[in-house]
Amino acid sequence: MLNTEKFSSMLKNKRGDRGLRVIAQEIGGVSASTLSRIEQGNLPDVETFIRICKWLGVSTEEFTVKTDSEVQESSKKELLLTQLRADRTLPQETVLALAQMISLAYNNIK
Amino acid sequence: MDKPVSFKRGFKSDSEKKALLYRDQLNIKSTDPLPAMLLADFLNIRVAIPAEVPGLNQQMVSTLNKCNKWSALTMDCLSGIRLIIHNPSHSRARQESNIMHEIAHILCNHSTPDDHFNVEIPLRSYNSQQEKEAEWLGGCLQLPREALLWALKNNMKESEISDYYNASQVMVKFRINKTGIVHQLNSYKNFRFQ
Repeated sequence: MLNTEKFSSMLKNKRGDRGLRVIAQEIGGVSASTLSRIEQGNLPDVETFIRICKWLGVSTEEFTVKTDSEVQESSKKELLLTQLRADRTLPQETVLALAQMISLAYNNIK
Repeated sequence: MDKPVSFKRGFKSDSEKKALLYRDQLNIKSTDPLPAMLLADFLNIRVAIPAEVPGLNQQMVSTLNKCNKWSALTMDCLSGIRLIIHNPSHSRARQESNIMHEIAHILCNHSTPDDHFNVEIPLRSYNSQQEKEAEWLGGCLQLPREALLWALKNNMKESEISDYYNASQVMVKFRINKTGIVHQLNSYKNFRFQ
């Protein structure tokens, strides 16, 4: 799982009192509204996550948290998901539910 | 900024051919609607909604059904089944478009790039080239040029085309604009009356 609290607070801290638009331009490829949603705890898409990590000067692993074994077991080194059609940011509870659903579908759909 | 997207040579005409080919293989007229579920079944792609995933508890089902920010996902199961799971809370037309869009990704052999880090959570990965290709092919599969031409020649309004093909009005407008069909029809009319 992503540690969204740590991610959004590092983003907010580095932003300081500068405007979201200024920071969005600095990061590149992301809108001010997306940044606002991320600061509120929503999860970004992969490209946005990578861009923000680069801007923060940290590795993506800084924010990954090992979750329960069921998700780990089924995904291992493989990318199970070929495509996900969704908004640029998603609420954390939706991402958690999607992760659970994907893991169960992977193992149980016959 | 993303680079402007251009399609591979022949991609657009191939997409139109696929739309007609699948109709032919399913004994559907070229001007008739092609239901996404029928095409998925023909291609051995399973389609499900969250409530149909074995073991997913009601709370998770409810969370996913209440959230309209996700549309659909495609994945491969341990059993070898290729699966599309889509959001049943979207309108019928949008569900149709979502499933057709995922089918288009599969037909285009799109996949997530290997150089993306492997995080064990489903984050959206946007590849603009792939998205444009799936958008184009998905649109063709739903509304082939031949079907649009037939509909417009028969004076169907956009709302009627939308209902008949179970496509959103946005999709109908997109296909009319991108195929240049109105221009062709106007030329046809001019030719007739000369």
